[in-house]
Amino acid sequence: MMIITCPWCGPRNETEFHYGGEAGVAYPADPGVLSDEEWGRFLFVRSNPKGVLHERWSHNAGCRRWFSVHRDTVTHEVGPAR
Amino acid sequence: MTVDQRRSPLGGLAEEFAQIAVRTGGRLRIAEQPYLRQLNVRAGADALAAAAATLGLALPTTPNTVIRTGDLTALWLGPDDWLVLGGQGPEPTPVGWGVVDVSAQRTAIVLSGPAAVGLLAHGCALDLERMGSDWCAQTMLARANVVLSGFPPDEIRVLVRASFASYLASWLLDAVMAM
Repeated sequence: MMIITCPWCGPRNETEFHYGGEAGVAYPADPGVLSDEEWGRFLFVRSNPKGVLHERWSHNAGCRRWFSVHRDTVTHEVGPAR
Repeated sequence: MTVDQRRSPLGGLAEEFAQIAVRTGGRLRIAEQPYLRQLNVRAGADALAAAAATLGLALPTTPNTVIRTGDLTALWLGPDDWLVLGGQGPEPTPVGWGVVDVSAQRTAIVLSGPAAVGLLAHGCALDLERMGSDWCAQTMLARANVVLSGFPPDEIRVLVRASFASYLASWLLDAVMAM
């Protein structure tokens, strides 16, 4: 069980949260000019590092707010977004 | 004369709840608090003062805290989200903020006595012993989403969705057997 610190509610069990994938994925400035491959890359391709990943989480069972954290995919160490 | 035909989600379990106080020698008392008026208040920072003036009590801005005034209690649910318990009558008219009567959404289970914290610890990950008496938290209790709140002197109120109430009541009755 990971313990994730919600910026509002404080440390809570991972089961209270919903995972939102990698953070900082910018929406294309002009989606209309993207090729199918570029659009697919925006939708589906993520960095998937072995190490620290910048992630979105939602505190579903609590304040229901979205926030970002840094999580180490090897150690599952979770810390505030930098 | 009008007859009250309302039925609370746990109205049929009053006898089972009453037996708990007998079995634990008064160390734990459980009772439903039916038909508690609950108002969901949404207000941005610029409308906080207006909402507080209309509702008649201040809204807490510190996470997981409550503010009481008279028979009203305001629970912090989120940075722009509160639950106001108690009072009577229809919800007030908001201007620049929002209020919805959600009384039927959840029912309240009141646990009191020195064994209450230990009972909830069977299914709640929060350390309730360190909370004091004026706190609230939205969390999971035995896989049910609940709003917990401490009331002086030794009460903990569990607000649970009406559709989850009988499940949670069964879980509480079962957990008492393990004490």
